[in-house]
Amino acid sequence: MKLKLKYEFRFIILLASIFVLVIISASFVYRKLAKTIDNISFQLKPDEQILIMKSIKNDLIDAENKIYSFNLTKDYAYRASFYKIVFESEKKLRRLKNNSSEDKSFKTQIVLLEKLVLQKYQIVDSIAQIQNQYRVNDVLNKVEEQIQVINPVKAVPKPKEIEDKSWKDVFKKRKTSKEEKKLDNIEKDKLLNFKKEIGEFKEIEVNKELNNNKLELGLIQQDKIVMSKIDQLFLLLEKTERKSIAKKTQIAKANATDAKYFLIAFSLLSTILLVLTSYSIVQYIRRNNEYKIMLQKAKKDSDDLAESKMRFLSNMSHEIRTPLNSIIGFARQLAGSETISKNQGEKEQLGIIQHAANHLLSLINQILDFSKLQANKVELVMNPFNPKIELENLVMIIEPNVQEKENRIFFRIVDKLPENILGDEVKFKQILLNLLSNAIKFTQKGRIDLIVKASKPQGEKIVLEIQVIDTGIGMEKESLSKIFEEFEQENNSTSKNYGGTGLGLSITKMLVELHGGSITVTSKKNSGTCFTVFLPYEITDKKSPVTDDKKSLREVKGINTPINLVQFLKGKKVLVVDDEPYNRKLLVSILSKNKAHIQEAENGQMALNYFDKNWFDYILMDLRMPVMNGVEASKVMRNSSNLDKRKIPIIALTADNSENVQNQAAMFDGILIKPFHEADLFNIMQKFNNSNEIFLNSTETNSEKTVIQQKYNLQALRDISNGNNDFFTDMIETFIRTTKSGLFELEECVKQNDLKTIKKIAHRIISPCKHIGAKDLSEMLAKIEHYDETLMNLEDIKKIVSTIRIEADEIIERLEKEI
Amino acid sequence: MKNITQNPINIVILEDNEYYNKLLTKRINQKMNELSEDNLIPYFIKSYSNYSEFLSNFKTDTHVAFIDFFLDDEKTGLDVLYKIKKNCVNCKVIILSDHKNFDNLTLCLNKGASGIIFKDDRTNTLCDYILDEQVKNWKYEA
Repeated sequence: MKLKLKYEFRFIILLASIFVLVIISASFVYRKLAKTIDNISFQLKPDEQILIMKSIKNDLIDAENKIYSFNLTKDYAYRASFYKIVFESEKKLRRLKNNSSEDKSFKTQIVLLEKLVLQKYQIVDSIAQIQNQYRVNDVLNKVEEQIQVINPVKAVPKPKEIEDKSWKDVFKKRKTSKEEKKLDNIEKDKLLNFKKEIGEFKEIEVNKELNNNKLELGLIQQDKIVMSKIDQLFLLLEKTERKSIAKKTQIAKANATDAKYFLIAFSLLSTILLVLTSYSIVQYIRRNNEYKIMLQKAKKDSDDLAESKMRFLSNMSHEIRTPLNSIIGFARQLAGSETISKNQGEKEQLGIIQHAANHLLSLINQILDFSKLQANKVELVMNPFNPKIELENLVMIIEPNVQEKENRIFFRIVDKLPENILGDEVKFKQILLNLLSNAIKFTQKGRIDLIVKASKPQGEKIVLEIQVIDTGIGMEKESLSKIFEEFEQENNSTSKNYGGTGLGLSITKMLVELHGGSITVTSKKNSGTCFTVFLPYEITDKKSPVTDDKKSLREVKGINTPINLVQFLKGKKVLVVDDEPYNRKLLVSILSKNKAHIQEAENGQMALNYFDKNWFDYILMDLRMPVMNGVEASKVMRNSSNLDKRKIPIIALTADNSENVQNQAAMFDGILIKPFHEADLFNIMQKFNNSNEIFLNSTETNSEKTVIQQKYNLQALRDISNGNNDFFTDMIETFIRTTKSGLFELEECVKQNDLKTIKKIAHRIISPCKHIGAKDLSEMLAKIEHYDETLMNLEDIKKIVSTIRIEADEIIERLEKEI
Repeated sequence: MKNITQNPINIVILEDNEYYNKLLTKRINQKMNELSEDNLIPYFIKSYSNYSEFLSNFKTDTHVAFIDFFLDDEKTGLDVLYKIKKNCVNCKVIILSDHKNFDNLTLCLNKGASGIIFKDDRTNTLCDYILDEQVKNWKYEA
């Protein structure tokens, strides 16, 4: 047990460690993996700063394009778009600034970029403004063209232009102005003045333009520088950003590597733990198997021991029972003798011998029962029985013992018990007998109550609650827990004062548990004890095979206490076979007292010799004998060539109440367990003589040995009646009527020596007798039906008919009560 | 299938013991009642305890006859069997016997008895079997 716990504890600890380690490792791995995944997913996302920078760069190009477009088309929408782009770029620059990391140099660079970008826009805008000043030049050119349209000859020459194309135009226009000199002088002067003014204005403007051009060139130069700076800055920023990404990648890589190592470590750890667990389990199973084998061996040894103990006890009990048989038997014989009955002192001494022998027998029986129960050799034999009848019989059996100690017994059934239950009636009685005997033993001038009630049926199941309450010496509370243990009595003085092996209650408990029931006890010192037994049973419709006949003993008629002279034995020839001379002597004493003729044989072989040469009415056969045992001798007798001799009743005598003997029971017409009471012997023997006497063993309380002959069984008729009472009654009445008339005819035929008709009548009435299970009556009728004139004479027939009459009358009388 | 206009299954019993006669009649009645499928299969059972009465009332449309072998008046089941077979070849004659006189019973079988039933624990089972078969035949003929 300790070992098992140790293993279980180790196993649980190991499993708990594995569980904790797996959880911790799994948590680490999960966290690492999650981090790695985050990094990877972050890297998978495009870098926002770089994107913004690229966008700004695109904005710069776009803005420039817009300005060029505006310059070319003079469409102010382009200019508006330019300003929009500028505005957007400003926003992006702000975002860039806000998103920039804590890196100061990066931040500085962003600020620089912002300045440069804005500078670039200013330059572009300035260039655009400068370029837009050409409109004045254009206007002037248009004016000059207009003048030439008015007077093409006097056309004012165009002012000198910076571009080549403009200079050509100016050259052409100077040629035209020479032609115009031929025009009207007045108009010529005005025109000349106008031309001069225009020329001056144009010159100023051209100079301005030249300056603007210079300025534009400067701006373009500046723009290039700014743009170059911006590009450099972009490159730098991108580089910085990429460095940062590379750094993050490095971290992610490191995390992944960590996770990988963790995973490997986790897998390794799990594998190791699994291996350890498997090893532990295998070890556990192996050891468990070893223990199992050890336990099985121990159990086998223990069973063998119990078996040999039981065999030993069985043998011992046989050996003890054999002399005990002589002691008890002769003591009874002596008790009945006239010499003893006159001498009070001897009578008392004989009483002591009887009492001691009975006590010894009871002890042997208890020890044998106990060892059988311990060796699990006891099984419940399930049969239907009527609990009420069994209880009543039990009370009647123990009544003399109750009175002997000046006690009173009260038997009460609360409500109603089921008529028939399925169970082992012998064990049922044994349990109650033990409890009642116990109550009687410890109670003097008191009261014993036997209270029985049945639980509410659950389907077919019921539980009988039986209480045996006495007002005896009672027990201390502390003793109650031990009283069901073997060889335990409340204290040593109990066994000294009251005797007993201390096995009774232990046997009772084992029997109760064999039923699947329970037993409890409450007690108070000097007040009394109450045993409560709960026994589960099944209600059945089937009736006990002997229920019809097995009336309460109080109801059975013709019960006699042992009688001195048994009529049916008179003149009978009995072969007594026993190797033990005292046993033979006892049997001879009992039988010869009743005028039977005895032939003694010491063994089976000797018995066969007598059997071959003589006719016997009975053979009483001991089973264990030297030379040839009783079983072998009986087999030879059963196979005798003389058919009539085969039918001679053989009653086995044995001190061995084991299973083997029970198995051989079929071979014999009856079995008597030694030591037996002469009433038991007479009860068995009278069955084969068709006597109607029933002998009740008044002192023997073992009800198993009380034989009450079964007369009939109406179950088959009840089955076919199927609850139809009218039919049942009609059939019983028919049986009674036809049997009575058949018997009358039978007797008439005997009177008239009409043996031929006798056979027919017997044949006619035999079937109903068989049907109602009147086995003995049927057997007797069969003897007549099949009688052989060479073997039987009229006298034999007359005897049989008279016994048939007695048997039939008894059955009829009982049947009349049935209806 | 169930032609209720068809002739009923006629069963006769000859048993000289009044008790056994009643018992057998009751059992056959019970079984036929079970087999009659709520009275859709008509049947008629008549029992006799006397040889002469049996023969004088015997009808040629009898389907099954349960006859005890040993009868009063020096008669046996074999005598009854001869008479039945003379008037009604198709009638199934079942001989009831409570002891195994194989010579006589074999003779019965040779002379046309359809079966032997011993009066023991198996009597009911065998009677049931005969009746089951008869009802099947009746349905088949229908």
